[in-house]
Amino acid sequence: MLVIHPDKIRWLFWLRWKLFLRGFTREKSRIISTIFMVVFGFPLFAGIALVTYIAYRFLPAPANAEILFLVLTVVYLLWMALPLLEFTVNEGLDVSKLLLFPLTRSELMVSLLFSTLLDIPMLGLILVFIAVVAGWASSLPVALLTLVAVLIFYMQVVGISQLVLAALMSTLQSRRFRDLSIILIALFSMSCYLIQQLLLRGIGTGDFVTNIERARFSLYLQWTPPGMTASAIQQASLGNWGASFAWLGVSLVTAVLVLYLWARVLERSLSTPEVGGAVRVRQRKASRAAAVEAAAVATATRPRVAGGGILEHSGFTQVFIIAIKEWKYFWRDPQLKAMLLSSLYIVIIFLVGPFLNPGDSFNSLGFLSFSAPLAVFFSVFTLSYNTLGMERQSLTTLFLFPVKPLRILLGKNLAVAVIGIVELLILSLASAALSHGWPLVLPVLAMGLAGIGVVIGCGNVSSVFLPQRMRQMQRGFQATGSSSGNAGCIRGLMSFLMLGVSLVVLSPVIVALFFPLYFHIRWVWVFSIPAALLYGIVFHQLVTWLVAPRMLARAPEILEITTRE
Amino acid sequence: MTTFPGEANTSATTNQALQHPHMEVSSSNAPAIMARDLVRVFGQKMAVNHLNLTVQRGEFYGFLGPNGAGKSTTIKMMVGLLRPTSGSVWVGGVDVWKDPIRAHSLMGVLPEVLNIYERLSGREFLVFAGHMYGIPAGDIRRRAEDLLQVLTLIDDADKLIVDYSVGMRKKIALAAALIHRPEVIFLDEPFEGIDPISSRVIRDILRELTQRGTTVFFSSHIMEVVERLCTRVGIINQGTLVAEGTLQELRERASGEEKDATLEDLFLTIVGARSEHQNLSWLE
Repeated sequence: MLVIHPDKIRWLFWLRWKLFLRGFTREKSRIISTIFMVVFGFPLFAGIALVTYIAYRFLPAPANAEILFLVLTVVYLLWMALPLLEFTVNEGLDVSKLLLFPLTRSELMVSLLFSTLLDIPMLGLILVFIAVVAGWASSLPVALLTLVAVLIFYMQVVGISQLVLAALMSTLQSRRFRDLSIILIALFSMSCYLIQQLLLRGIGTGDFVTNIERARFSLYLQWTPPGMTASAIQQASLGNWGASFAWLGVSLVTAVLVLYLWARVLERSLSTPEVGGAVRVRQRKASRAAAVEAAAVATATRPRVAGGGILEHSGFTQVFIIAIKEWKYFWRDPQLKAMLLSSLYIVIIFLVGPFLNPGDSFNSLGFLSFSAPLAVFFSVFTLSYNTLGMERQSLTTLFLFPVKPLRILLGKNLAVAVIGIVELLILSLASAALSHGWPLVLPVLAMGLAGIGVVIGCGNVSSVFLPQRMRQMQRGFQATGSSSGNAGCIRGLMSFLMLGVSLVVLSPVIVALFFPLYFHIRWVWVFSIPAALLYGIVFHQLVTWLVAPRMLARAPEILEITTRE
Repeated sequence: MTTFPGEANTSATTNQALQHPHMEVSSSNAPAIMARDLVRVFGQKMAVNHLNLTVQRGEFYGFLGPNGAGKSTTIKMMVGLLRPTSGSVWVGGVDVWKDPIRAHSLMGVLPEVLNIYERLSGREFLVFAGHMYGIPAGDIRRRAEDLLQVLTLIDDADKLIVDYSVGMRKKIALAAALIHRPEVIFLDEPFEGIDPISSRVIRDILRELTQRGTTVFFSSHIMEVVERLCTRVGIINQGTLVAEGTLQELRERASGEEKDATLEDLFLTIVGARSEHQNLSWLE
């Protein structure tokens, strides 16, 4: 039975509205991201709406209808995926928080349906829908039918996104899904350039209209929910009102079916105990006496200082253990993995770029050899300029250990240096193979190594004196905005400044590589390259040696900046 | 050898050490924990107000106070995580703010908010912690296995800490704090979120450690636990140490209380909390 109390709906909508507003008052970063979205996102959606409107209006049939099929399908798929990726940051979509209250299924559904109107991406969707109605309004009846079809489609879109959300509730709450979504979003954001390049190539070749017509997407898409809506509109515009109403009816039935399924799944999730994320704890029947005895054994050996070999005395073990911890984190922590992937992406772009734009002289294959150290410079900078901030809350634990700060920095540096060296090797060898520039491999490698030393040294300075807070574990698109730092524009500018400083400090290395090449006196490399290498190593050691004591002295201040939530 | 600073602002709670302000104390004879004139100001608020406190070796010291009284702030300053606005802290005779590395080698810390490496497994974290404390590799393995066994984490030792429950996290953090056999252990709300079985195991371990000379300094809201375990108790309210002593001493000081008053009664009396019943007649 459909039981809906309007008063409860009003208060549920009030809750969603408050959460929406509080998001802006409590999180400054959200205000910035919203402004960013309005400045860039709104024109993007407006542009899409305008382009699709023109396509509906002015492309010849059936190309305009094919566009409609494609647009509605993309919207449908996007709305299935987007709420999943933003689940943890959108409290309004989390039904589990409302389970404590005596709300009926219908009340929950209606409130969720209206709540989606407060999602910022919905504004973009409304623009796309307006374009559909305006684009197909060849007459008043067609306009009305299109409007009704779009409203039904809206119900379908919201319904399917909520259905997927409700069906995957336990999965969404699992740590593995959260981790995966952070990495997927990072990969998606990073791959935009490549996708854009590939799409432009695909669309740019041949006659676009002919290609669209020949593809006949509608043959397959008409049997999908968005295709049904598109078919209803298409048939109405052709004057086939019978077929149009039939498709509209099917579309309505589909919408009702989706809403019904949503209700059922929701009902099941309300009555099923929550198990997501639960950890099975096995209790062993160890006697208390045995426990105390074992504790005594565990703590019986007094020596606190390593009594091992030379490596342990020299502190190399601690450096190495910290480096291993860093590598494990780069692999296991989704935020750090996303950063690592973005650093690898820089390398990939440098490698693939010349092939995407073969005519560009800057991207010539000759440039490729020298781009290797540059790519590694950016990559290593990404991983090292906020190395203490990247520890996030765990930095407290690290600072509680009686470890010399020099060892902490060296351990972290070792981890990043190894990644940089591997990237450098791959990129140098690949670029040499592609551009037949084998004679340049050794100079490039040496320069790259010197550059790594300089960049990591600069990273130690910025990490200690300009640490940035990196927020813990967010999911969805907001995670990408906070993956590297989340401490406001000033700190962002400081990072940018540090990048500039690093480039300036790096200039002797650049000069040592390019000066002999430019003046055709390559024999100078015999001196300049070892000198540059020495410069990189000495710079790193000197800077790290100077900075390390400051890290110890500034520990509380660093913690205050990096661990505040 | 460490020289303590000049006499601080004495109060009813100042102790023996304060009466000998210029004494020189060797690390081995020094009190386990000594705080002098500790102040921390946040904006306009004085979170910790000229706190003086001494804990002797082998003591099980309970640090009590209502929410926002300054317990965690004090502990953070004592372990070197929060710089005091003024004042000094010594642990095992070592100035925490002048020689933090040496001081950290003497202490084990279980903070209120567990900031451990969640992306390491329990076993990996203990091995990592052992290396950070400079324990020989062979000892680390043995101690880690023993601690995992004792704290009933052995079956989940290879699971990532991020997948641990709150209680399991507390236990692994405690294991990491114990692995180097610290002289002083700071525990901030160690029993919060812990099941009774684990709570019992932890209590027994801590008691055993104090019997072997380790000093335990811990804050808790659970009065029964404090009453059962602590040899001495300090009560902080609005940043000021308002009472300190054994349970018996506190009973004697709290005039008007019955002789067999519980710690909870004493605590409520000392911090001035009143049991005011709101008018909830509509519940009837």
